[in-house]
Amino acid sequence: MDIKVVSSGLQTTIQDMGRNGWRHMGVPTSGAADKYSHQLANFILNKKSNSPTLECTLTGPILKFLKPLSIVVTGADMKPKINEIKLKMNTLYTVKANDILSMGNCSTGCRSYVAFSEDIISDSFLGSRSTYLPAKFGGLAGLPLQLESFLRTKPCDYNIQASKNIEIGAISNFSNEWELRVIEGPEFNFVSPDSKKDIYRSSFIISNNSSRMGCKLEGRRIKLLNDEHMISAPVNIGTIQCSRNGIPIILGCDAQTLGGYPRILQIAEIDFPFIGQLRPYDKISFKKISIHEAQNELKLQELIYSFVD
Amino acid sequence: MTNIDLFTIYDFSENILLIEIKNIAEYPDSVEIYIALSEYLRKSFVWREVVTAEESIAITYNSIDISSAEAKIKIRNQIKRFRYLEGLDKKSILSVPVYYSEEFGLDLEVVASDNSLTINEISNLHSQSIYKVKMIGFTPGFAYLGDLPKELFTTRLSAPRVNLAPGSVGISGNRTGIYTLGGPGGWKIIGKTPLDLFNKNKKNPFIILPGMEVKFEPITKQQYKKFNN
Repeated sequence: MDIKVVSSGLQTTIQDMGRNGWRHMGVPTSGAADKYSHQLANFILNKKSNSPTLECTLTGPILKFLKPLSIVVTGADMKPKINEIKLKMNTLYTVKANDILSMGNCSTGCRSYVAFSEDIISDSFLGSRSTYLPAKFGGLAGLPLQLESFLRTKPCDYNIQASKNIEIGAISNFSNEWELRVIEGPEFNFVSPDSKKDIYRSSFIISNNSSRMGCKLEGRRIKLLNDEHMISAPVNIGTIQCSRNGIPIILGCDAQTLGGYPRILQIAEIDFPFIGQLRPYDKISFKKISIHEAQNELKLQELIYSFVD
Repeated sequence: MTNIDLFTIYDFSENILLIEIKNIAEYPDSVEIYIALSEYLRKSFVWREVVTAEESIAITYNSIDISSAEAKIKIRNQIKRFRYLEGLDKKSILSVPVYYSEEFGLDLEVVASDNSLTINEISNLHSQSIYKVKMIGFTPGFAYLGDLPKELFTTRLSAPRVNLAPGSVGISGNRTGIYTLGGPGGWKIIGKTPLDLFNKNKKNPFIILPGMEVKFEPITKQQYKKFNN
């Protein structure tokens, strides 16, 4: 027993880079909702980008270490402390046995990632350790962290000398207002001319009813010209479907692989990490970009941040 | 043996392309041809994901390595080489035992009253047809089986259930399906199978695959109970 869960946090799960190549069997990609912050945590520890991290949601856990480890916290700032001493985000710390990491809640962003120098022992399913709560697989028997439970860790090829002591503070400066870049989806033409203007001119509010599966958007209802029944078609992370009552829904990393509602917009992959950081009542607006621009943004990101897959 | 010559490939996002076969009505079985083409594309191991729906295929490529135009050419060439051999890949019919009862069939009574049928008639109608796996999606391994007999057509629940028992058998519209892993679901539940349609130790743990045929076999409470002993 290496880490004791003193408090579980609102919803803390084990995540990695997700299950790839299984969408044709209805298996969502899953993995960290904000894969950028997840990879950053592993990068600072000089671990492989697919090493499992703890994904904390809105309120983080309290963990008691039973053996010395190195840790990094990235993503939303849940004011992490080790024994009352405040930690900097995106920074490597070494903890001793009996040290306590306590995380509170965040006011911007939604998810925080905790990476350890050792790998958390967890279930692998279809090549990934990421927890998929709806079907209870991956991670810790498919469940979130449980109060008073223990985590076990095992040494990996981690080498503290190689860890990166870098300041990337500016990267995780989240806000409560987001501009997401979008590509118009296959059924964008189902949207009425007035609603098309609304999409780019007005803003939307993230509903309280949001999860790793998706976020509903409140604000102007979208008027659809075409109301006929649609045969389920492929959807992806970041697809914005519009339900019959005009409410847009952003699909998250745990969303289904096929959807029966018009796919009006698709968020550019460069902005996928932000989908995982949207919190209830955040304000979002959309900016149209071309396929070509979206591809260039991905290439640019890879040049600047070598750790992003 | 058929070639696919009329199709479109268009961008869904900066790394996903959609393929639609244009003259699909001219083929004997449109679902089968999409499934066969998807399988062919998947086995080339060039693409990150090949997702099959009833009327399109979504292909994810690595846009850092190749442009959208290059990916389209590659797919076009693959489709040119693809030959659809009708009926060659006939798999045996998977028989799924179902215990139709109010004990597990949470909506059996509602369907009975909405469709003016007895519970016996529902189980007879549901188990009389051979269904084809039209597509797989929604949740892991969930197969859309069709078509249901007209007498069983029904609407979805107004609010989906959050956590169905694994093995629950549901109906909605002209489709039926088995909630292999349990979890959330909005279809009306008419029974439960004791058969475990998920094998954790296999490379592909899902037993129902695209293109397969499935039929249901009514079983009694005793048979249901004995099944896993």
